[in-house]
Amino acid sequence: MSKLSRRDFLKGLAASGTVLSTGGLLARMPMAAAQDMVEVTYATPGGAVEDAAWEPVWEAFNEENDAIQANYLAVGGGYGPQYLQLLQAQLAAGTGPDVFFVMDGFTVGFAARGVLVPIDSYVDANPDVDLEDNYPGHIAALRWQDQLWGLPRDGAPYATWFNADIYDEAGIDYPHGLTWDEYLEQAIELTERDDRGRARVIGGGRGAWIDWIWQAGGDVLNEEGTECLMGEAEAIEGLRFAQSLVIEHECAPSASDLADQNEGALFTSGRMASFTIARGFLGAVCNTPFRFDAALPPAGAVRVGRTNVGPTVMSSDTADRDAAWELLKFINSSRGQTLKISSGYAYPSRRSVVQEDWYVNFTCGNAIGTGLNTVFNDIMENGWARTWPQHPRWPEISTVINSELDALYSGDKSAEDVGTGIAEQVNAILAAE
Amino acid sequence: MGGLLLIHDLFKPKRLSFWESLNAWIFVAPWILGFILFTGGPILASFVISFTEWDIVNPPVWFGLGNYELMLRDPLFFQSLKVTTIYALVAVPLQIVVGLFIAMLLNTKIRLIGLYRTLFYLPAVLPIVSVAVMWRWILSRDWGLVNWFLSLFGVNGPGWLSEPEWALPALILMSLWGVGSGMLIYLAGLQGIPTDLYEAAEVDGAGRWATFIHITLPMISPVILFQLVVGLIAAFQVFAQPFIMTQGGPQNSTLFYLLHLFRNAFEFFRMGYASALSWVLFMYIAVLTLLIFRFSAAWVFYEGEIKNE
Repeated sequence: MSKLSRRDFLKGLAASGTVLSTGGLLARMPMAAAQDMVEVTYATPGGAVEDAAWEPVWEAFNEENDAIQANYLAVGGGYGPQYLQLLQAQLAAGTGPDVFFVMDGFTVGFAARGVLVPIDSYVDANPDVDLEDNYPGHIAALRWQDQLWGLPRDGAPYATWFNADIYDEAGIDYPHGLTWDEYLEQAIELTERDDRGRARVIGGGRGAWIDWIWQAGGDVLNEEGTECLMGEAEAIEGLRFAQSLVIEHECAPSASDLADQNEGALFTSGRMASFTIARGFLGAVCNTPFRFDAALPPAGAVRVGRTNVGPTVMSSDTADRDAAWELLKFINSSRGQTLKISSGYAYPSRRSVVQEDWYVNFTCGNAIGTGLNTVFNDIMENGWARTWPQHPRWPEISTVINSELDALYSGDKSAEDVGTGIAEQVNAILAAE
Repeated sequence: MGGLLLIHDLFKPKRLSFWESLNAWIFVAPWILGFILFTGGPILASFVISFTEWDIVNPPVWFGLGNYELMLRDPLFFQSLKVTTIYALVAVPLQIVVGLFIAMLLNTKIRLIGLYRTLFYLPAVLPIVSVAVMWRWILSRDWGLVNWFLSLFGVNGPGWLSEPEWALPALILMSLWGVGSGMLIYLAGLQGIPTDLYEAAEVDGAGRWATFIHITLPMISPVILFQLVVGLIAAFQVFAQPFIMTQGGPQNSTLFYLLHLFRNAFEFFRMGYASALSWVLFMYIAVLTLLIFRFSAAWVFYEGEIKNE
């Protein structure tokens, strides 16, 4: 065998590099036949269950649109900051998706930074969008500075899920539409702790903190988003009730309970009698061994709870806005939502979909009633749901609030101190705006 | 390192021929390119970005020293610096002591010593995410192993991760889980100590403690210095444990510096401020490292070195 000189080796290396690079470039060149096809990409965190639920949507869209090819991009990172991080990196690099999902509370931040296309003109030019078929609250949550920044892909009002076995064992009526006092009374009665304070059964979840504020008649920010109202009497009343569940009555999970398991895990493991979350939770609760259903959440001075929106938005960097709009429109359409949700557990943002037989008759696991299908519609139709406050700096505001809530739920601070503390810190953020 | 050697070679009096130089540059090019693109470049870029306001998607806007001024008015900056400094000051010495102690136990000739060494090293190679999830249960107030053990002595253990005063000590305790890698380095250091020193000490009638203080410790002091510096840098870069186990809570008691930096960068999209935070951290670590090296002359002994008392 002849010996390879260093120079020959390098020449060979260079030649191989040239061949590979050329091959790579050729492979990237679009085929002549595909040149007329516009590709648009939709991005969402994704995951095994979600990917499968989206599959029928893309199949139908691509079948109905000869000139547009919809691609699905599961960005990863889960429904948390990591998804946003990955999405931001793609948008910054100019390789972002054309249409994408944004988590509640972040839409306005994206819009304020010029990342999104306002879609009012598209909606006006397309009466078939039928905006009225969407729950008004969901559409309102996507408006900012008199412009519409996206459409909902689904909706997610929060209701109270309850473990019917625990209620039956305790001989207590199921928690349908309770007042605060009734809810508290039930939760105390259902809670079982041993002499060391360890919970065998916890009467109910902490609930979304913002629900207690709203139910007490308070709010986080004023309408203009220029002032924090957490120091007001109503907000403090909501905080006081939330704190009493954990500290005074010990009938909601303590910080230690939650250090072991989050509320969802406490509920599905049969250690918590009820808790409040969206219909998408069916994916977990359907597989539990106990009987369950959904009920209206408790009411204070006002009956209200939070709803997520499923914001679906168009990137201002998209190469073909018309094609991106077609995809966005389809995702929001009754057909798009039916295709997605009928194989999953989310709640539609369109009233017409909620009336369809497949939705009305849906059941799974040990569900004991129809609450899991009717309650969410009752909440939306009666205006008992509100969306997260809209503010470009909501992520920072929310971080401040969560830190103060630690002190509330540990009993280290009074509701008054927490409320005024939040107001002070949030007002500083708003002032820096 | 390859690049430095090459530069050194290139500037030696004996000059390489053009083709030899070209060959050399071609072979180190991947490392140099990788360093410029993925390490040196981003480091320099982050320095420039620290003087801007940048939300990633829009062009950066010049902000001068604004981000550094903001830092002085950010209570969470001081809180995160305090948390991280306390962690480093307690966890690093603790890791050194425990790592050295285990290494000395394992520096013996007993049966199955290889197995014991492997067992003590094993935790250091487990993925941090699995370890963090497991420790959440070990530290559970109601069901955890730690509190169960304390209950045997009639002690009602605290909510390690749920009470502000215990969350940081819990993470410090957990940091001992990874002492296996340090233990391995100490073990190598211990085995490098010439046995004739111990024989001489024995002849002089030195006890075990005196032998440890006057022979073992000085002889492995360079290893301890290395572990101290590396451990300190690692302690200031702790992120995964608080991110997974406490999210900085309760009440910011485990808000580590990098968690604060991460939130500003990827949750609040304040890249300029996050870059400024990273440069302040860099300077802070650099100063501490220099101080350690400055004072190391007093306690680090190198083989063959004679120190003036």
